[in-house]
Amino acid sequence: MSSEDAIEGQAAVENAIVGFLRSLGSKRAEGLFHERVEGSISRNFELVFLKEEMFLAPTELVKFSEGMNGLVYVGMRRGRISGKIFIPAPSFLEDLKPFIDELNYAVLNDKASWLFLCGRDALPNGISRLNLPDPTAGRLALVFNSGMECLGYGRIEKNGEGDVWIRNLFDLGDFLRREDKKEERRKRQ
Amino acid sequence: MKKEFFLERYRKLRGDIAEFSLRNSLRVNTLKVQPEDLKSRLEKKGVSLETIPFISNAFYYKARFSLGSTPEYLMGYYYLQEAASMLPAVVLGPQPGEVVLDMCAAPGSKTTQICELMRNEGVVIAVEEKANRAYALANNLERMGCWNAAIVRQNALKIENNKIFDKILLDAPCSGNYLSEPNWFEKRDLRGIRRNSELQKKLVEKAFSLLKVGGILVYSTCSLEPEEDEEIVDYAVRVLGMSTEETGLKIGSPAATNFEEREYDKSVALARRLWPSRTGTQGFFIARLRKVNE
Repeated sequence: MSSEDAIEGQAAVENAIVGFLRSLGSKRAEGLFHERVEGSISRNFELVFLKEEMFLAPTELVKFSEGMNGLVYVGMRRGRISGKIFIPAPSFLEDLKPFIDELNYAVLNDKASWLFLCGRDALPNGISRLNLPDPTAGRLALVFNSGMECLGYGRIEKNGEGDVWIRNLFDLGDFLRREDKKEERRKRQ
Repeated sequence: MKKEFFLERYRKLRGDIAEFSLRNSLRVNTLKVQPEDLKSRLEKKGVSLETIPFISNAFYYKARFSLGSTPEYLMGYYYLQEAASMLPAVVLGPQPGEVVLDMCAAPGSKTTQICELMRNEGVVIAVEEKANRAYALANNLERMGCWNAAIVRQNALKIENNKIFDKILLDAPCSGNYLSEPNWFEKRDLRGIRRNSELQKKLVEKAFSLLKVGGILVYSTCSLEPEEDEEIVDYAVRVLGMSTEETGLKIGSPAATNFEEREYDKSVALARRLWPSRTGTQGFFIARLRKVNE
């Protein structure tokens, strides 16, 4: 890869992540990107890409594993870049917690939390608190349980009465479902 | 008939068998939660927990529902892991900052435990050849919040020799034991056990070549067959010149120093055998070996 390609690649990654943060209602998405992503890199961590997957890994680990045959995973998975879209991993969402005041989020009651982890949407009666700096329908919101543990995220929707509900886009139940999905894909091929 | 064949072998090792259902157990991930906090959360859901006496941060549990799909599980607060299989990583004793290899890593119970013991500092290389198993390993590393590990998908015997490790865990592929699957006695024979034994010797040789002088290799199996246990440690001592060390475990019996016509090096006795009838765990074997010279 030429240095021009590398710079172009970095810019594409930054744009994708900034786009995600903006979708979460952040008014200073670029600033947040620099604090969270570049800030962590400066603390002896490096961004590593293996195919579409993005990892944040300690420099020591990156150096040691460099050149090893069959390297498929390194450090902490941060998400996936699919075209121009950033699809965050749970560790990335969790790291946004210190900044949630400036982001869209919903806190769910216990029953709604459980349903959300099962892949269901968060309906208005299951939402106990909302923080929506950008309440536009179609924007994204982080989803927390009552203990402020991040369960995933979804798209802000509004029903006929104008009440907000969250369409589930990702939840931690994915840890259980993704292996089944992979197995199904393998069987279909 | 086959069962009697194995029982006779176990008698020669001064062991016996007992049929029982293994107790469910879990290991707390102290990278994310403290044991008392997790205990209190699970107890509120009606789960009863009892400390496992021979290992820290682990519980036996009884629950009316699966603990493999709770929010706490999904958040990586614990790993469902059989009690004996928590011991090899403890015997290895990985320290923050060390460079550690887990040679047969999937699905990741011991790899995630190693990362936890290292407090995510240092380097862990986890090796798994099969794609679906490597995928499960990756999921577990991610769920448990392990940052200092990398997965390489390759045959453990083909790991590049230019990498040198402070510590290596070889939880070797083995025949298992009668509690690990139904009708185990009917499915196993000596030929398969000997085949495993040959592979295990090759893996130990490989581990030896990747270990720094003074480095530690922990060899473990869930097999009770001496060809896969004492014979491998004897090989490491006599052929490779490694020295055995105390495991520090307060559970299990000293390994055998002879079996049928074979005499093993006396130091093999420092390894531990876990007979299910005495430990209440699955069958297990654990040895700690040091590389004393090239």
